Amino acid sequence: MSLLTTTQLTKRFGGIVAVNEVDLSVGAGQICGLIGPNGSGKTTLVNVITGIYKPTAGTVSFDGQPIHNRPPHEICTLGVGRTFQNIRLLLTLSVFDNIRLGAHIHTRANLWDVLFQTGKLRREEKEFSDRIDELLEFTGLFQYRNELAKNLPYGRQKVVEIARALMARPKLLLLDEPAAGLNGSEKGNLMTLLRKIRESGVSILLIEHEMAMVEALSDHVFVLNYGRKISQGTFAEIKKDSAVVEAYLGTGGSHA
Amino acid sequence: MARLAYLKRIGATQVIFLILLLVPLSGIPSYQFYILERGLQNVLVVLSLVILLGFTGQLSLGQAGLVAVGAYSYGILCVNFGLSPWIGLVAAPLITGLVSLALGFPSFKLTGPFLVVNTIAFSEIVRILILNNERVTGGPFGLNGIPTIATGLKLYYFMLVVAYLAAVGTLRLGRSHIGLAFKAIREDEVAAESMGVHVRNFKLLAFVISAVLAGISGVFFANMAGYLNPDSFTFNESSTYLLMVVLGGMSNVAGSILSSFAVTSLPEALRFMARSRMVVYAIILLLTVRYSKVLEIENFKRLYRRFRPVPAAATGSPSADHPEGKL
Amino acid sequence: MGFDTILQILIQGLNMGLIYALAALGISLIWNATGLFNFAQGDLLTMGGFVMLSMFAKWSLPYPLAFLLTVVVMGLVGYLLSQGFFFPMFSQGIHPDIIIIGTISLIVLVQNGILLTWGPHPQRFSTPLGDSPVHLGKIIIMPYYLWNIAIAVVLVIALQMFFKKSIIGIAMRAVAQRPVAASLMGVRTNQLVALTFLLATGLAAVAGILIAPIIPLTPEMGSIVALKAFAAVLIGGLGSFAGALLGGVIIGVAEVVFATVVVPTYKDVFIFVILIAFLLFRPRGIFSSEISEKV
Repeated sequence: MSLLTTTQLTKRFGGIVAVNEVDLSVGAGQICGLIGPNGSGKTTLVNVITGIYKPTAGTVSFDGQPIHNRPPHEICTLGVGRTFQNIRLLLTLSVFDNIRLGAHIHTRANLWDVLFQTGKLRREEKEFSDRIDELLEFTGLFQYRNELAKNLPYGRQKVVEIARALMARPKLLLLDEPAAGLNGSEKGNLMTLLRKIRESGVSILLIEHEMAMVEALSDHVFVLNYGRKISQGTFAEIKKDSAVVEAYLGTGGSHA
Repeated sequence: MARLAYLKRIGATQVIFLILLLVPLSGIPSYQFYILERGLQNVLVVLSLVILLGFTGQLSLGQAGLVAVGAYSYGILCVNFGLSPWIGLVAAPLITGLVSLALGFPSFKLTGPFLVVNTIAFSEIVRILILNNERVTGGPFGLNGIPTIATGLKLYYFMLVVAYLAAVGTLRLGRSHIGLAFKAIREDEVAAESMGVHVRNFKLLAFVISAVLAGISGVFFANMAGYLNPDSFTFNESSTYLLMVVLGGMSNVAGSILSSFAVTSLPEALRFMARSRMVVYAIILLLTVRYSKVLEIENFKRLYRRFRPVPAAATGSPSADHPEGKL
Repeated sequence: MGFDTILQILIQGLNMGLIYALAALGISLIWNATGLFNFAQGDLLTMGGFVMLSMFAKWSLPYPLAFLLTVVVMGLVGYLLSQGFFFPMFSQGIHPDIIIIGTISLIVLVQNGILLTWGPHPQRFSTPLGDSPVHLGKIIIMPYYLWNIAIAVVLVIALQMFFKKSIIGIAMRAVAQRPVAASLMGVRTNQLVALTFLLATGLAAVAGILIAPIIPLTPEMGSIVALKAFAAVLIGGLGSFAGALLGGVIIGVAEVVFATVVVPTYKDVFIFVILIAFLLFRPRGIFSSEISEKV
């Protein structure tokens, strides 16, 4: 059973069709790669799925429900998490607080509880605090717990974003180029982390340019070019697809 | 370690309020006492801006209008409807909160200059309405004979308690998940929304909470003065509140309380420059803003990493309205 | 309502509208060049009016000389503002909300500076055409309306030519549209921003001079005028020359119509409600110039 399905999903901006009738699906427990040259519409596709843009046509369904007309904060509560290509952390706040934001949708305490510091609030915050510490361990960030996010090295900031997304207990995680800007060992750590995430039961849709990573992790790969899906299959299959080669290398280039 | 920081921050505020508690007991001249009272009244508005601007990043220049709503609601309920001041005390801030929805609903979609303009327009509309409804508000002649909850030292201590509760509430709010949601909205609305924060509702919440505080401040103003006049709620007042919260560190409760008293007492300290006090305020604020980078004022730099708000036509990108093709 | 009354209303509206348009143009120009909103335009307008008051009414300089000197002085003020205040903050990358706070403090400074210098009481001066009503056929018109419209129209035409034909004008439009390309062609952004401020403040000064015969000058009037100019910019569309003109005229006429047909006391509220409506529903105005953000 597919967890996420897009059907003929299209997004236009004025005269430009950024996403053109894209069909894709991610199954439970899968890591799917989403690749394509720069400007092929990968990030826009993710933005449509997460509700930041409304689709011009087509539908998105998640966990059996249509989500293409719902606002981002609702889609988040349904179990779709994401990270951003240009990191969107709250840089002036601590790593702890940044991850705590992920638990916003699970927070039961209200204004009254806050103003009167009720037992309910305290218990809940303790629970969240424990879970944040767990996540910090899981992602290898524990040493940065109280550090301001802006003081972290770039590669670690990316991981904080992932931890924040995980805090929301998503069923599906959409990662937008998590490996960009990472050095060799950081990439290795990231791959280990992504495997652990899958093992914990969270599916992943991975936008990446790092082909080695896509090859090593993906069960299935979708290839976009100029907003259209031009190929899909296992990494080995799409690697041999001439349409894919052409998209990346242009016509007349040598075949892989 | 987080808990220790918690104690430290409560400490500063408690110390300030302790001082405020003890000072009048030692017997101070009435003008100084008046300054303390005014400072306290301003503290509530400044706290409202700490929440609205400091936490949530909504630049509002309409606080004077909200204070006016609070003050006049109290005055009208007590004078025109003959209700008890205690009922006025409770009802007026609630009315202000309700009215602020009229401000908040248009505002939640707006940012930057558009938001500022909206709040200024709102405040002006309030002032004009007050000015032109003489039968109800006394218009330019003012609303007189407003009954008070208490007077003199009793009023001061009453205000002190309320202000202290407001300060503690603001601190707790800032440290809570609601405060975190506010700050997320301030730093990055898209990220906030993507993490499940219902941005519109939380902005409205910020507006309403801040309006209730401003409304209480208005009630205090009415109690202190005994009469109301629309000239006390102008753009000058809104800018002064802004100055106080900026100098206090925007989201810093203790700092804002201190700066509230500092700015309120400035005319007294610079008595020879009393008429030019607004000019002095303006120059202070101007210089603070102008040299904010040099002074390394973190809150001001607020690290906005996305491009400057240059119009789409000016980006040089051929696909001006295609987001992926932009800077 | 007779035809002559309608014509009278239109002339009054056109007159105020052109004044708002001049202020709106200043706001638009600065926004085009820097992406900043100079709310202080309204108070620079007032200041221009008061400077003219001193030169023309108090020191009895001849009108044309006083006019010119006022514009020059205010232009200089604009230049200093841009070099000493706006441009440094802009190029340091200070958060736009903070710059707005700076602009607000500028407003307070100017308003209260005017208060200290010229006092709180409304003051007025007139045009060389005097204050005796003029008869044009069946219509009775105050001469300064005609004067204002004439000056404003001449100014607008001059500006159009400036932007279309002169090298500096073309350069300014280039910076607004393609800053990277413009700087590669040797245009110096810094100087252009300074020039833009100079021009915008000069326009505000003219508007202030023209408004004095109709609405006596007071220190606080700047905020209200700025709000109306802002409404004009929004209606006509941010960044558009024609839009600022159109928006200004619409606001001017709408204001007079409302005051005549409904009730004068709430005419400002009426305009502010229009402003808020445009903020909500059509911030891009009639001639669009969109801003979008990469997600």
